[in-house]
Amino acid sequence: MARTDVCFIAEGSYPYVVGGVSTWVHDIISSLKDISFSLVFIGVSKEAQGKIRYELPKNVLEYKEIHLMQPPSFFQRRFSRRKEAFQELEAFIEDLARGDISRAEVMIERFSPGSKDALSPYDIFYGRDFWDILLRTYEKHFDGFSFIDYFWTVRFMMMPLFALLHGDLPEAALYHATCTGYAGLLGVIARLRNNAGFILTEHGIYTNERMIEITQAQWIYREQTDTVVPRRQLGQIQNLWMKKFDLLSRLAYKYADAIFTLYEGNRQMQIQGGAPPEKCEIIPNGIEVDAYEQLYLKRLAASKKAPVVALVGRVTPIKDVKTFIKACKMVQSEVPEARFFILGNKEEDEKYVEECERLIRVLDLQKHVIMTGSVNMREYYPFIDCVVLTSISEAQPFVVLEAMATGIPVVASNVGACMELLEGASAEDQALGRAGFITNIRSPRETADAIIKVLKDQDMARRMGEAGRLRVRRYYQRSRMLGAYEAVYRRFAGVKSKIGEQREIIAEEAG
Amino acid sequence: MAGIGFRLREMAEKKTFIQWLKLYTFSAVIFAGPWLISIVTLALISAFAIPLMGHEELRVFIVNIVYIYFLSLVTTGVLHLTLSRYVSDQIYMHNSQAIGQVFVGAVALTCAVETIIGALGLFMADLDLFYKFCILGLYVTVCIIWVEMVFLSALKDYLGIVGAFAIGYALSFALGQMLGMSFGLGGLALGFLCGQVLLMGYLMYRVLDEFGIEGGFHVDFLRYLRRYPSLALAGVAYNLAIWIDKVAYWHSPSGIRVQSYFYTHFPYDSAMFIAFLTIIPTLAIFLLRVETDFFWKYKAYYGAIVHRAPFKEILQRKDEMRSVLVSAFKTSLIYQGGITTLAFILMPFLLMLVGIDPALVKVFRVGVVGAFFHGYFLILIILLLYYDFRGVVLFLSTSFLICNAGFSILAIYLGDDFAGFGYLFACAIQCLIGFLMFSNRFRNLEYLTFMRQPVG
Repeated sequence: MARTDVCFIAEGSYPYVVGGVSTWVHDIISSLKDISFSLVFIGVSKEAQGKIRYELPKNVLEYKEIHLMQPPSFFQRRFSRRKEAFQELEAFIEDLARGDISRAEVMIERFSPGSKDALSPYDIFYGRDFWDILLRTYEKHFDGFSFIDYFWTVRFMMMPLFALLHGDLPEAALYHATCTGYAGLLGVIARLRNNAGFILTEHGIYTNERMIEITQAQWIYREQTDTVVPRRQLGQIQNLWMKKFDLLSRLAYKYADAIFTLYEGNRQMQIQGGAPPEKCEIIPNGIEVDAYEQLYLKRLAASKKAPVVALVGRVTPIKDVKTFIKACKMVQSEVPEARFFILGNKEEDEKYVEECERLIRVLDLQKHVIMTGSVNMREYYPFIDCVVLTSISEAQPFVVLEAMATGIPVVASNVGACMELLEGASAEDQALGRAGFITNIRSPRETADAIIKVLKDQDMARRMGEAGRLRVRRYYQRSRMLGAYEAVYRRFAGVKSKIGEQREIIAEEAG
Repeated sequence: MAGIGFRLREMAEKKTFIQWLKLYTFSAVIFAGPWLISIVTLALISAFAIPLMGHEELRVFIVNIVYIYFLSLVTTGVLHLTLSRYVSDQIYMHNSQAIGQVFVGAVALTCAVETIIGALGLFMADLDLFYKFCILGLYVTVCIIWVEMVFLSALKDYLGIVGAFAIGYALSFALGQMLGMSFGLGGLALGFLCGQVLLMGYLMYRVLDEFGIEGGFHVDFLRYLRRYPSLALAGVAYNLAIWIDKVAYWHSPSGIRVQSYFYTHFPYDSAMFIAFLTIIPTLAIFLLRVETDFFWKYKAYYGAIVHRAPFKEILQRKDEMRSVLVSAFKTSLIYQGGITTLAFILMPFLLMLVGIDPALVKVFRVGVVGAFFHGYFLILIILLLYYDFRGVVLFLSTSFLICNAGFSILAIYLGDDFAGFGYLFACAIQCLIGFLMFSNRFRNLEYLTFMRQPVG
């Protein structure tokens, strides 16, 4: 296969899972037609991944999959003693326990097939030397802890690493990982092995997302303790997993040539997580603003009797729909004619949907709050007076951008990039005015007050809508995002740009 | 949220790793039982029938019995361990219905296959047709009893089973004698057969009573032959190994052709059978301890692993397991040492008691020492089977077969003075190798238990 310009490394997303990251990858590839791409999808196992959901654009020249739970194929048993290699490995493990990844490069080399004194999966999964290391490490750090859990956790942790170390990598001038974690590690491996560039874009912060998963995971064994411990305190195994993800992130940050995220808040978290500030840049998501111009005009022309408030999003706990429903009740007592919509997929968490329906009945809102399920938002936006977002976690939600582009004032919880979106990031941006209200999470009262203000003060609502429209147009255009990445590719992969005008804009900004 | 990170849980949940460690409800009876029963029967026949040996018809019958045990052990050797593993797995999955079904299937299959083998074996023999049928029936019945033993061992009612065997064999002898007196060889065989059929029927009743017979039958266990080929091969190799020295002597220059192609060797056969009797009490007691004391410690050891004990506790359990073994070995060695020495010294006297020429004492003495090592070798193999070291067991069984064959042929070549030395050397060497391999595996038990679990 020919060497492509850019190799995307997608972990658990594109092209199998529909979502923000996948849409973003797809947009970039299909828009930057002059750049040749390859793509590596990292999945759990072949059986678990379902169907491909995106048609790969024509400029994807090579596509590969790596399955983390695929047992390693390289099981060659070596009888040479390689005592030094194992000593090195044990020292490296101690390093990791202290959070030191300085020897990672050497170890990646050690575990790469074909290198001198290579350590194979056989050594790690069946070998006597590694068993001794396991025992010593156990005694040092896990003494008294359930041994079987320790043992299998270590095995489960090692297996994906071998899948990556022995995986088949497309050749590319630049590797672009869509998160840290396994994708990040593969990027580091590729960079070291192929002497290529490596950049990283995190939409959500990987370690934070894993933290949420780990605290929710029921299956991990936690030791029993007699003393009362705060619920958030992690068990040893959970800690071990967190440590692993943290180290993987650090590794990716260390070797990435540049690190991107969507907004300043995330950038700060990356820096906290060990990313060198000088490498961290922000490239916000963008939308096709022109596509919303028509909706904007339609909305101006629309005439209707009652004000309409809408929460746009999947009905799942992370969107905290219940807070919205409670706020609806409060709004209703002030603005009795208001109508409320919950627009979004109802299939993901049926239990939660049921709970929400029950809450609606208890609050006697059946006539006022409607859960539609999945809908075409373009048909709804022209009739909405206020878009609400009560999520407890978001990155840079598209729905806010879309609402702003249509000129709808937004009431959003203070998560992710919402503050920047509604109130502006830079001073210049802030001068455009507010596009809505920011509320605290899980706060029905604040949410309701903000909605009431928007509904009652039509003048202010119009000003907010205009400010939002202007902001999106200026800072959150998709072409701007695409141009920024094209420039990045040009910088790190030597890709020649052919989209002339955008090149000028970017060059100006870069300079 | 993007990223896999933790969706590995799907894998973790799929193979709940706690479950990989299955306790095999293995039983020593499966491996040692048929041979012990055969040897006791043959020793008793050898001892008590010797004064009657002049009687031509009795000699034919006895040599046929020997061949029946020989062939039935070797051919059903394919099944013993495989079938027992299957039953163990079904018990583990609480699938007792499948056990009843597979029991019927296994008996039917044994019946069919062994009838063919037996018929082929008897086809050319120059014997009375009625007698042939009785012998064929006896052969198939004995084979089925061996298969039943696998299922019975799961019941762990050893006393009941021993009682059933005692009564069954008593009936066989009594009926055989009764009918033999009036109807000669055919009557003798028929009477013996009747007792065995009654025993087989009773054991069958016990098994079906326990596991039920709903839902027809199947031979699902046959896939275990492919899954655990080492178990099937080890079963055949071991059972062939314990007979190969006899077979060699039958066909040696001093072997005696009794009838058609049925051979015997005197005093080699009797010496080996009777000598083995000296180890049986100790063997029985040792195996009983294995099944009780040791089995509890063994369960506690794996229980500690599965119930998330710290490593220190696992090592403690192992230590307890080892003390049981050490103490069992110690006591048994003291007793068996005494018994073997006593038998060695008193052999001429014992031989006089059963009417054998005391001049033949040497081969009996060699047999007693050989049996001593054989007994411990057997114990080691059974312990290795408990820990599921299938490869080691296959290696030991095969090397035993080769050693016993090779040394016995060498001993035959060296002359009658060396009769039994082949067996003795083979057993002693195997016992030593077995001990070294077992203690090595036992020392590395945790490593082997954990690290030999396949990934993926």
